[in-house]
Amino acid sequence: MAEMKTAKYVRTGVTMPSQHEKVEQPIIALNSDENYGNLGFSVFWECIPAPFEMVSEHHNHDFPQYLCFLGGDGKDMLDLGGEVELTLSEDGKNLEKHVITKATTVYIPAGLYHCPLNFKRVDKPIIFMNIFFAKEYSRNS
Amino acid sequence: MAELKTVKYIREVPTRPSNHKEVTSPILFIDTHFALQYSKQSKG
Repeated sequence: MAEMKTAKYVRTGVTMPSQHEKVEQPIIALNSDENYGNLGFSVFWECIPAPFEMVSEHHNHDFPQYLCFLGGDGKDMLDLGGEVELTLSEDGKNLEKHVITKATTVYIPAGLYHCPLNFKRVDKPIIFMNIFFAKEYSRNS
Repeated sequence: MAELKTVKYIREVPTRPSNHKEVTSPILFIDTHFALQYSKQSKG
């Protein structure tokens, strides 16, 4: 059968390995690149199976970002099943640590300092979803 | 303890029921007003 004209709109199995040894499953990625909408954003889904500190140093970006923490049980994603610590700061000096124990979304506007990000307790896999609105990911320290 | 200034950037995931009876778990979503509301605040 000839390839469907609309095949260009569908991507399957787009993954990348995690840089973190605790994350054994591949990261699933949606990248709106020049061949896929060219809208300048990316979404990554990552399965966190065990406690570890994912990012140690606080930083910010020139672009907005969302971080989502969801339970890994598809039938009950509201049950986070763990505890996540995330530090936020508007000025990079007054650091505020948030303790997340429920399914949570975090909006990080451009310039908002964030991290450390610590998956402190993981009773069951946590789905970490990272959405950023830029063609390339980069950090300001 | 005083409320953290940055608490406005964090939300419990909002949910709504699915229109499809086969989908028995709630739908989780990001409310885009989240961004619009706080970008206005940050401009003072």
